[in-house]
Amino acid sequence: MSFVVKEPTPKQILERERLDVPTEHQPKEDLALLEDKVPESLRSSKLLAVFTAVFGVGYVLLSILPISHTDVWGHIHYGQVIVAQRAIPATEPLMALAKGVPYVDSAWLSKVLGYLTYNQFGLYGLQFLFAFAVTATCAVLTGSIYKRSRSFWGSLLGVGFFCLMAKPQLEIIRPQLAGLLCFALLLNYVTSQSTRRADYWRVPLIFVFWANLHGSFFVGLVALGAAFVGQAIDVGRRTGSLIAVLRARSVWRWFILLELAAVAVLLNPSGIGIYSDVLAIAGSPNMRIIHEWAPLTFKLWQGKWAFVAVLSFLVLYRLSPRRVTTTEFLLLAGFGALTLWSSRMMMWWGPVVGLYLGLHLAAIFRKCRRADICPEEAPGSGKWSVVVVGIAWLFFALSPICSTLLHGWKLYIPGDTRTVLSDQDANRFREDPGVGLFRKRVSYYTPIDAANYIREHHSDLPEGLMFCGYEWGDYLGVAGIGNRPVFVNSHAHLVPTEVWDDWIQIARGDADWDDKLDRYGVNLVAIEPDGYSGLKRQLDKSDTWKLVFEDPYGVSVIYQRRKPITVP
Amino acid sequence: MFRNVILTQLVVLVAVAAAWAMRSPTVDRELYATIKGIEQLPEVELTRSEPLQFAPLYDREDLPEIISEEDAAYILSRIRPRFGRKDLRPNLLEHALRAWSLEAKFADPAVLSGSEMADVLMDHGKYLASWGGKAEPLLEMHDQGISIRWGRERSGSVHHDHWLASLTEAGVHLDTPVSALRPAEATAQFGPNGQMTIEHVLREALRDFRLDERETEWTAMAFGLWLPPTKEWVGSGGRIYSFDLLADRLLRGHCEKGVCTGTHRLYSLVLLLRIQEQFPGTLSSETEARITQHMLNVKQWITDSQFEDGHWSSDWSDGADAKAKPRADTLDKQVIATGHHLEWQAIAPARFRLTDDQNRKAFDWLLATMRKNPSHDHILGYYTFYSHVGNAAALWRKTNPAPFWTSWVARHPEADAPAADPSATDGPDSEVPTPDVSDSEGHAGITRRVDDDKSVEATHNGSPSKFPSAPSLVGEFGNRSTLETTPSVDPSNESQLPVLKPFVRRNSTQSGRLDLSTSNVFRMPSGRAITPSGLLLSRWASLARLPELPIPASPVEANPSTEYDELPRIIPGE
Repeated sequence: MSFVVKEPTPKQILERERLDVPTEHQPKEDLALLEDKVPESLRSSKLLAVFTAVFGVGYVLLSILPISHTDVWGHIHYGQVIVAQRAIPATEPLMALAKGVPYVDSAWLSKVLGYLTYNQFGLYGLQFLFAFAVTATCAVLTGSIYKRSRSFWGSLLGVGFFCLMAKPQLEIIRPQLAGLLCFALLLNYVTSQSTRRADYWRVPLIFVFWANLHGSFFVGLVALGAAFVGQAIDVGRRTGSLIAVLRARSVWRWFILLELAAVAVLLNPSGIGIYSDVLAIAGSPNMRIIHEWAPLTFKLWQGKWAFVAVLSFLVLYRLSPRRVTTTEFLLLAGFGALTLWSSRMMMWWGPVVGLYLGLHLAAIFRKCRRADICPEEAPGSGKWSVVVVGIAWLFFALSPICSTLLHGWKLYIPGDTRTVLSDQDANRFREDPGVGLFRKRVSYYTPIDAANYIREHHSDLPEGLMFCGYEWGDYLGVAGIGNRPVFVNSHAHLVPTEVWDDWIQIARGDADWDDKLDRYGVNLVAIEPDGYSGLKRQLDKSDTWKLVFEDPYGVSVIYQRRKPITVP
Repeated sequence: MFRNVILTQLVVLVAVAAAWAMRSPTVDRELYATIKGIEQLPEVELTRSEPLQFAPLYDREDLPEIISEEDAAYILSRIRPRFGRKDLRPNLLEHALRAWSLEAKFADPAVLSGSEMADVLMDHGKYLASWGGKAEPLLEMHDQGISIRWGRERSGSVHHDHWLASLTEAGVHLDTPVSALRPAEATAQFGPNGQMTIEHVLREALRDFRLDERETEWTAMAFGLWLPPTKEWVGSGGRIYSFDLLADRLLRGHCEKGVCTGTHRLYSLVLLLRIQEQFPGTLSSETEARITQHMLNVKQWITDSQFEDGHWSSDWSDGADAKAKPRADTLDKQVIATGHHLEWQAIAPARFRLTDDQNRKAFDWLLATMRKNPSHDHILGYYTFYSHVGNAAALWRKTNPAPFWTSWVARHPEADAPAADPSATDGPDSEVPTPDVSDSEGHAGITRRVDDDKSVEATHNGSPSKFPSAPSLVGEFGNRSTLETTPSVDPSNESQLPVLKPFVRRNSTQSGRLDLSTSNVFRMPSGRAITPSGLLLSRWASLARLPELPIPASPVEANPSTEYDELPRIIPGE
């Protein structure tokens, strides 16, 4: 008896594959081995693995960047106070000259997270937080671009441009990075053309976290407002009818999201007062002298890149086949104008520029290749999911935080006895290994040696108020320098205006600098010699002051009053 | 879709309403400030209508005489406020009033009484009568109160809150009327006839005080005398102020850096300690201990730095170094340091006081200095400093200048006899020192001499006035029947109304005083607007009215038999 095996038609093959029905040629057990049991939502594409590798490299590089000396230590210190008190202080708790000043803090959650991370994992924990926040922001932004363009290079170029634009601010670990991550997540929705019911809880949820992580939630509301207005204008232009605008679901969608976001913000310790708190911080006259709050100039890194961005868009708009929506215009022009007003706003303009730049670049690439306008998403598989997870773990394992998690090595501020070093690190530095390694892990201008000197000569140095750079106040405040409160710290908005003005005059070495130091009862001055050259010159000339310390790196000098003022 | 929109609106409304209901007081304040441009602060509770007063703590009978009655009388006779009525500088008046108090009265018509001095300070009309139109008003009315113009100008007060502190020590009550120019916006706030009082000045002082301004000594004094038992309040910018914070500020920095070579800080710190004794808890125990330690340090420093002849120099806080390397001080600096140290010592608790010999030596030096410079000009040139010496002299006799003088004059009528020549000297005119123009303590007043008495007799309230002719609004705006009246003046009786010269000139740009650019609103150079009727009313009212200042009963009656009876340590108000 013979059997005639009938070849299946191609249609039958496809249908069987779709139904996962084994063909008569294939044994059942073989099919089971090849079956992708990973849920579809968790399947990854090959491209995602490539993106993961790219961002993994970025994450590792970021995680070994030195921690900036500016305001991070202040945030940790305030976080410590909040954790210790289990409440947000009513008045400024750290600066002696700001006693009684209402403590306005729209970033309490970031500070608490920062403190808890530092307390648990030491400096490596902070490096992890920093690298994670920046990498995650870039990844979300890349996802937003890729989702709409399916362009690998368009996505990477857009995000790369953003990183270059906002580089000075991306290098500093501060609560603003948490706000940036929230902004990137929001942009994903704002620039999305699809509507999902889940947006009505996802967007407010972002704002709930955002309002507690950083006061920049305002820019999120501005972005939603731009989306609402932009959509209304677009509908109006297309239909020429106001009625159509009022009936458009897409317009109402943005309006409702804006309202829900504004209400979600109220879920914070200050309640409705958070709006005035944020405005008070931004409007503080003390901020004017801080250059990142000053108007954009061409001298600044951000100014140059803003110029490049404008030029780029002139070219892109000429070449790109993409339609420019009113929302896009409002976001670019609105945040661009805000950046002109304050260079700090580059942090928020950058993602918008990067996103639209990536989208237009992708469109131009497609136009050049005559490719599909909306190419299909590459199919994912469980295999690539495993690869993605593996790559992610690999890069995570290469970052310093892993040494804490796996080996228990921790690094804290010099003087903190909790530091645990590996044998290799302990042998690596001739001086105190804890100090040597710490020096490698923080920025060059961190006043490590000044703080160490004060700590080591604690009993020889006079007590009382210590004058220092405002960017050093945070580090010196946590470095254990005894009963020597710092003049100011980087939370400039909490410093009384009169004190701040006096600090500026002293820092510049203006006339009356010595009179002011007398009046404030300052007995020690710790400054960075190049940054405060005017004051240093005056101190060198003065008979009242003497140089007692100068570190070998040229980072810090300390002057002591020859006849200290008695501190009762 | 629209159902969703409406549902969302409901959710938003409920959420905002809930958030509003749970808002902190700060939100209201900031909202008010945003909308109206004025910071609305929680009202500080004022529980007293009269300020606290302090008397020396020592038992007079057990204390050897530091200064004799004759010497005290000599000092006080030299510091009688014999000022010219024209261009009366508020700084001089404040010092004189602080020393002499509201109750001071003198037989010599060339000498201003306490109430006359207070009138010039508290009544814009009297001030205007002295200065004419060439000075900005001393009292500046705002939406919420009255502030005092202060700074380097002759016509203003010199120190922030010195006006308030001086009048407080002089014995004003919280409801003592203060008559200021009433700009349109203030009229809207308080009404055209609403009575302004010292309370409005105090509340404005609470609002405009900044802890880190250059001088806080006077503010600390004024608040210390009015606010207890309140120990904490909210000030400008929502900052929470307390007496601890004020004490911190007074303790901060180099001891010499402060008003009058830092000696006023000591006076204010001693006052705070006295307040703490009266109202325990006003200061924290830590702050009290810090003040105590500081004052003990000061005691040691001034013990070490007193020169053999009894005086102190401005670098008294250098202790023995001040004597070892004497500073080339001018006389005024020495008078300042010596007089002020004696003054705060007089009210200080025993543990901070120097020995009797040390204090006696200091008085001896001051007396010798005054006798060596017998001219009236010398005193006038340094009046602000000598006024403290006079106050110290009376305090060391456990009394105050006014009751002491009354008592003295009762027994020595010739002491208060009118002087034939106001600038007459008590002896050979010795060298009159030139005040230090670059005085760093804000005593701009000492750089200029008080002008000679050039007052013009004018009919005022039916009696001869010592003030120069007051300017007139009559005829400029006509209808006098609309003017505000006071019980002391009958508006129907024109003979009682002051004969006044035109004040408002149309040519405002030339006069520089008023801008009549709008039809019914005047704008002062400072930008404040005032309606013609408001101007008319307030000007006339302030000129015509002679408010009867309630002069509080003196805590120490000028009865020699009871003068030195034991007094309560602090004599609070009612």
